[in-house]
Order: sequence, then structure tokens, then C-alpha cells
Amino acid sequence: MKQYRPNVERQKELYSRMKARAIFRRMKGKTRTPDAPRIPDNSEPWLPGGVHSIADALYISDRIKEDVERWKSSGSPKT
Amino acid sequence: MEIKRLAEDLVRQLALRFRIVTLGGVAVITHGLSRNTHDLDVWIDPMESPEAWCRALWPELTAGTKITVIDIGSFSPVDESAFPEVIEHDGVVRLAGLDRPLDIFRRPNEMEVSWFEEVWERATPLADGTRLPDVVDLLITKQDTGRPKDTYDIQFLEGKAEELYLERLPKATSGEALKMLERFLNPKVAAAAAAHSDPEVREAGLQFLRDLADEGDPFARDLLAEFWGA
Repeated sequence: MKQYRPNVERQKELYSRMKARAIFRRMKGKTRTPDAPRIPDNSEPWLPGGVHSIADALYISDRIKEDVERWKSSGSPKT
Repeated sequence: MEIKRLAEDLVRQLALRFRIVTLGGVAVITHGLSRNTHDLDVWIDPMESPEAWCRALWPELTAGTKITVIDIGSFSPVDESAFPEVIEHDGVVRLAGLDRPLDIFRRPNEMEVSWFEEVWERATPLADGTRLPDVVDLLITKQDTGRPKDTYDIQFLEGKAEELYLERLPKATSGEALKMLERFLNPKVAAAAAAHSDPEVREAGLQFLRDLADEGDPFARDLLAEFWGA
């Protein structure tokens, strides 16, 4: 079997972006406070029971496609 | 309006007779990434030869349905006699005439036909009879495709594999750890390997960081400098 190795150019780019974000935060006078409260994970799963089949995965794909279409034209969802 | 057969139904039916591993967007979504996908990609047990594969599949694909087998290279229809040659050359054909394109692979990107057995063994069974490939196997099908749309998938899958490795690697025996590193390595995993209790694992991790640093990876270079003064 083949070994997965990261693409070095992509690594460089990701690292550069990470550094740029840190510099930007410093420039804005924002530093990370370790004790500051953080918002807990508030994301809702598409399917509460998880994805157990191709049909489940395609259900998620189709809902995302519909949402993207709704938001695309006007910038707000059409109901 | 004509109601087309669902691609997922055909796959479920095929899974009763053949071993099938999901690939592409559907597999990535099943691994937990929220994204959409236009088509459905599956890897069907490659069997002993392209001829045997085509002989077994052709009746299943064409019986009583309006499915057309398409050569992805030329986007032209394929008949029964040309099927083995096309699949041997491209490793994949597209099935049109379903509610969405269904790409059936005998040899997925970056994979060898002979690897099917171990990919199948590592994969997780799904409720429809297909299997979800292990995160590293799926990642391998995405590496070196050169397609920008795969970038997010790679980032997601690499993060997931990294999390798994960082949890398991420190507790793994020397043999297990070396086997794990044969399949997946990135700078953080290499750093974890370099801190392992076994000297051989430590050396494998350090060597990988040195290789990456030599190729110009600044993250690997900083990790080496920070932790090992190399």
C-alpha cells in the first residue's frame, strides 16, 4: 500500500496562513486569553443518528445543495 | 416526466452480490464532512480480471433498465464487447440514466487492484451492505489528484487521520507504531513518533521531519528546532 504524505507546498501555505492570522491578531491588539470562556460546539448534526448508508450521505448532500441554491441568488434564503 | 432509478438503489442491489466500497464525496460525507456531491463513486470488487468483472457486472447493469455505460475519457457509450478494454484502461466507467451519475471503479485513483482485499478488511460495514473505507485509504485516493476541489476533503481527512494517530500512536507498541507510520505521516504525527518510547519509532519520526524540512517545509523545520534542537 501507498503511504499518505502531506504536500509540502500546501504545508507551507497553511503554515504561512496560520502565521499571518497570528500577526493580524497581534496587530489588532488581540491576544488569546487561556481562561476566556469559549462557546461550546453548537452545531447540529444533519442526521441525529449519524450516517449509516449511501442514502444518508446523499440526503445530506441534497439538503446542502438545496440550501446553497436558496442562498445563492439573493444572499438570503428563499422560503 | 420520466422517473429515473435511484443510483443508491442500484448500488444496494449490487451490494447483495458484490463487495462494494464507497469512495469520493459520499465517503467523505459519511466520514463527517458537510458538503454536497453531484455523483456517486463506488469501488466494486475487482475480481480476477477485467473480463471477469465485466462479465459479472454487465447483466446487472443493463437488465430491464435504461442505463448507459459511458467511457469517462471520451464520454461516449460503451457496448459489452468494449467494456473490458475500457475498464482495464481507465479503471472506471460512468453509468448514466440514473437519478445521478454513478461512477463504478475497478481501479480507483492512486490505488492498485490488488489492494482491494486489505481496503475491504479495514473498511466499516454500512447498513446498505457497502463499506466505508478507512480514513487513510480514502485520503490516499485523494492525494495527487491535483484537483482543487479535493483540497477541502484532504484537509478534513488529514485532520481526522491525524487526530486518530495522535491518540493511538503514543500507546502503540513498536511494531504497531511502525505499521501505522507506513500508512500515514504528517509533521504532527512525526513529532508524536519522535517522542515515542521505542528508539526505532523515534528515529522514523525524526527522519520524516528531517525529510520534510529538507524539502522546505517550515513547520517541520520549526518542530525540529523547537523540540530537538536539530
